[in-house]
Amino acid sequence: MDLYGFPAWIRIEHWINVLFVTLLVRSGVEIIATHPKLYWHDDSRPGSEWARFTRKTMPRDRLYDTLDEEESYSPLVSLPGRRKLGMGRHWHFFAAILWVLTGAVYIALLFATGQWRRYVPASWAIFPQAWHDLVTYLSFRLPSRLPGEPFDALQKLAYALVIFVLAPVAILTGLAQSPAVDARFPWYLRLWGGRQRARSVHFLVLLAFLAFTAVHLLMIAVWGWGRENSLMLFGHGDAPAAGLWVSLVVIAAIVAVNAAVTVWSLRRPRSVQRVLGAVVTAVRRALLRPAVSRQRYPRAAVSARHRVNGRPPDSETYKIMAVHGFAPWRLTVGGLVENPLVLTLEDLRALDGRQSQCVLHHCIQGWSSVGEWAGLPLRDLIGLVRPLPQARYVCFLTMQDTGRDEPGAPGEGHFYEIVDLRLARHPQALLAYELNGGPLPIEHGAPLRLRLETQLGFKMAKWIHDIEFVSDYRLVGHGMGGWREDNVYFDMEVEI
Amino acid sequence: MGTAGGHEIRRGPLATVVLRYTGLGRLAGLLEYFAFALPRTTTTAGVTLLAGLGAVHAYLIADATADPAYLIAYRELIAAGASAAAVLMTLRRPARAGWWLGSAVSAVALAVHLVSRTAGLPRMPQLIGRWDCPLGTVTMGAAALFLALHGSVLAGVNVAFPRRRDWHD
Amino acid sequence: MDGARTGLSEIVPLGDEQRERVRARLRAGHGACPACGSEDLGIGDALFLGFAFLSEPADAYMVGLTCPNPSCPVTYTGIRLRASEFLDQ
Repeated sequence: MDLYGFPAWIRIEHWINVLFVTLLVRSGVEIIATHPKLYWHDDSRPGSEWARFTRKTMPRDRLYDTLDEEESYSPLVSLPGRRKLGMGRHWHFFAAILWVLTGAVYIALLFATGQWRRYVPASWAIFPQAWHDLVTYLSFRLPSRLPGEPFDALQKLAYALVIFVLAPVAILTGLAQSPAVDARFPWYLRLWGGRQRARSVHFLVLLAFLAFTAVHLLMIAVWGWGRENSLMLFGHGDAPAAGLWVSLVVIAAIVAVNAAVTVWSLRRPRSVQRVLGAVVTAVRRALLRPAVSRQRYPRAAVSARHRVNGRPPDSETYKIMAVHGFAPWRLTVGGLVENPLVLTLEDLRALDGRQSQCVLHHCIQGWSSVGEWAGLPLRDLIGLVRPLPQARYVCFLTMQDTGRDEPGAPGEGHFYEIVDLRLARHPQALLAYELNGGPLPIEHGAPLRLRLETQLGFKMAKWIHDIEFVSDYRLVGHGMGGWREDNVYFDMEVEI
Repeated sequence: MGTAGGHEIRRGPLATVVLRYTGLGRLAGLLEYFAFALPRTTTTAGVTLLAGLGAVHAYLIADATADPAYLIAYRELIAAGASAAAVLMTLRRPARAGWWLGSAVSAVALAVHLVSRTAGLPRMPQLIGRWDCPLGTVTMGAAALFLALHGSVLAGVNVAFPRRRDWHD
Repeated sequence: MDGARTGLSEIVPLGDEQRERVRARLRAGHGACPACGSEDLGIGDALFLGFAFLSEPADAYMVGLTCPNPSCPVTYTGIRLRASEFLDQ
């Protein structure tokens, strides 16, 4: 006699969980496709990865950037597939929020109803019992269930491991990849041994989930697909035929939802960006937006080779500026300000308040590097130009013409990014003109780039030549808050 | 020639023909998306599987003394072969030979186990149909996993000690 | 990609002999200031273009030229050269 049974809430939670896990796994695969390499160290040094899921090799004698390393996976394994990181992220975070909520309700109900005993072992005796069960399974026989319980000892331990270890580790390592969390709580990242370790563990948890699912399905088949599904659908094992057919219908429905959201994401990405973005942004604003960077990495942590994303402006004007040490370059600062300015690189360097910061760079693709950036704090520039009351956002215009400089990128026009004034006033919001004690290298945005240490790398515009204070970001470009937001559907605020 | 994560694999003409006309080529193409740089972990996994295989056979030598002499000799051979292969795999120069010996031992162990449960072995008809023996399942599992692991090394998915990846990117 | 690539390492300082070669190239190509026509252009350093810029051949350089005419509207220009045209072999 099973004392615990399968109450309705357990059954409903189970199937909702299946749906969210399929969305999480597929969107997670989409995210890893964008940088299909896993590292143990935070410098993400090329060639140091312990795993790669790509057939691409990069040139030795040419600058390549991490966009070149991006893979395009099939929609069969990734959501939505075909190199759509923006979409994959929306689904991953949307599903993660709902999955965590589902999990929280599940855990609360487990403990409120006493059902936690179905998973949590009451005595150490479970381990010899589980060993005995394993030997029984190896004999191709089925062990007996624990007295009065729905599972045998090995099953009970496996479920406890998934619910109380794997799921929390997945959530915690996911959070450890957030630039805002890592910038605000550097100790938390150290707890995981760094961002790349957290990312690798996150991936290993995925493998563990997949392995669990495979064994779980096998066991259901072995114990009796119809009866087990009857239990999980109707709460009793008396209708195996209905259990079989209804389970197939439910699985078909989950597949249909996956197919539908895949098609939606591939055909109407802007609508997915707006709908899911609204949900994710609300949660992110509440939890992560308040974070302010407190990073102070030691100089010894600086990566020997900071990875690169994006190609420099391939224009005659830019090359002539570069060969002259950017003497002809001018930074225009204008828009809704009392005191518009035009500054040379020398002017910028001569301004008081030069600040340096040794920080971890978080790329949206998943790689990281540590660098020491130096330049003018953005708040100092804001103080100099004195924004008008209606100014709410800062727009960074760059010399990179994406159609010319990033021929593989989906979109054209000059690269720009917009941040709100509050973020621009963060203590580590910096207009950097130096990296690791030298002039800012061309591939890293010379002569001037942005640093926003609670954000992902793409927000930190490089090759800046114009800064405009505006009242509404929706008036610029396609109105989504930046070139990547416009063209590859990223979120405007990227604390994760 | 093919590549696995940028790593060149030499294929002979026979392998090329097999890949082209069996559909295995497509599988090989898929495998090229997976490459790991975990030589010590790979070797440790291989050694562990062979240790399991050897331990089961060593245990049976001690436990089933009434079995025919040829079966005891066979178990001694498997235990010794698995041990020798495991040791060779941890040494620099003969590591590759160790993997091949391990595969040979695994293949023989797997085949003999399957034959013993189906066609039967001389003077051991009582084993036919006896799939309910956990040590037999461990034998099959360890042998099959070792063969799969060695296969992954040959396919370029894994590298084993002392080899390393020479990825520049 | 060079593992130790930091700073503006693409800038190659030129010696006298190399500047002379650049000057000879300028003379051969009627190289004068495109804005004011001044012929006495100052020759600066070279920027290696072949690595970072997609459209450039692998051995392309930009040599910085400065117009000495204080009233010239375009002080800074450059000439694109192949390595073999001005660097030591």
